[in-house]
Amino acid sequence: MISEDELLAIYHETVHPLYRYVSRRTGGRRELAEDIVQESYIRAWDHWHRRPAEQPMAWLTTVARNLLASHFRRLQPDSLEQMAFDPAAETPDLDAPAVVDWVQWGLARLRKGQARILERFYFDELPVREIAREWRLTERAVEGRLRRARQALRRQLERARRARGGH
Amino acid sequence: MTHVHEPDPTFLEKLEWQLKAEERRRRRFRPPEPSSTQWRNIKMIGIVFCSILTGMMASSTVAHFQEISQRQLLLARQETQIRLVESRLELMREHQAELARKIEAGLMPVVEQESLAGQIARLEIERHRRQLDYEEILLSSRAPRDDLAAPRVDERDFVTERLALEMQSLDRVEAQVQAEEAYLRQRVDLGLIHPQELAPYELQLERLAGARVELQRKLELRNRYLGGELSAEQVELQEMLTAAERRLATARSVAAHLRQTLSELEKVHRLGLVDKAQLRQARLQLQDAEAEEWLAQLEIQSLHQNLPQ
Repeated sequence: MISEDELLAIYHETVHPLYRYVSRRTGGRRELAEDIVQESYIRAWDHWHRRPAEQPMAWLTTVARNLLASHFRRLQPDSLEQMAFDPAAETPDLDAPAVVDWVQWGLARLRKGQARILERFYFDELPVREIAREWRLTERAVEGRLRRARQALRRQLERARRARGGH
Repeated sequence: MTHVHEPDPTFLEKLEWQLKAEERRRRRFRPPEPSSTQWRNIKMIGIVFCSILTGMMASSTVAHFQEISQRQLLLARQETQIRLVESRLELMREHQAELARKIEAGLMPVVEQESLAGQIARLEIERHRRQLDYEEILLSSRAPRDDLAAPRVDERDFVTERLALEMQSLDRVEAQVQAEEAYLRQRVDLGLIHPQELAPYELQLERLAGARVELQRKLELRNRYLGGELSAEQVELQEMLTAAERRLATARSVAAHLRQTLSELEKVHRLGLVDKAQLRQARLQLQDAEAEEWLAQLEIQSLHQNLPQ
């Protein structure tokens, strides 16, 4: 059984990186980031009482990622701001919260693998070499996957833009 | 000033306090931890010795304490659940106040507020339901029973009370989906979006209508059972039949919706706008829905054979 001190030590060790992870993916929106972080810990607390807390940071980021995906999956394109960027651009400007919303909205509608690779590339700013090492692929294969994922994201965003009546 | 991607110290303080409080509640009601093997063996010998000495009296005492401990655990679990729902409600209300300010300033659309109000109403219903469970444990010292053949507890019919709450929750969800559908329909009428965007809402409304029929049927069965018209076995079979009929209706409407989607996708695929994988995925989903439909039909047939004529 995990002790209170162990749980609090995990909390102190993980809360800052987890918040940064979530905040980057919410475009720095505090309320949303705080809700997601809080919900992740509530679920983690419950889980760690039943099973040992192995790789707590990995567990927390997986929960947070799923919560983010389900939040953005629920959003309707009409509730987002005007899409003021080019979906065909190589790398979107992720310092702008409105751009982050659109990218996340699109990622939440892609296949898991495509969303994961773009997320590592865009939000964690991992270079192709690093992703290749992590995923045990050649750099060329990663580049191919990134290209296809970007195309899929662009299709999603353009479809949403058309639905909003944009050009 | 806090950096944009760094947590606010007040938030960290509040979250840590919340987690500590949760931990304290958990530990207060936790059964004692097993001690070392040696001590455990000594205790076991003691317990066995005492049991032999006290015979039947001891076993009845142990059963009594087990019942008390079980009751405390169940109550503690419900208390924790109620507090969690309450803290989520509190956060959502704070968010609602903030959202109202943003809507007033024209920064957010009004539809956001309706959706949040719906979520809050559903959480309030959940809190009420948890409270009912808590009260049932207090009166019965057992886990709450949801089946239609459950007895009244201390003259209270918790099953009907919970079904009524489910009906309230359903009303709330249906109102929200209807509002969203009406909003989209206006946009379809104006030619701003494709009519296909309405399909998921129509499907959801069909499902909700099915859930309503099932709930009404359950309430009726419960009344007939309490009135002595049906036996526990008959009620159980009827309940299973109602659930299977609902599954069949849902599977049928999902399959119809998927058939339409697939036919649209095939058209687009012929124009080269959709890849084969998407088409294959849609076919597999349709096969799943058809299999579900077939299984529900089989279950209904089998249940009809067991029902008294």
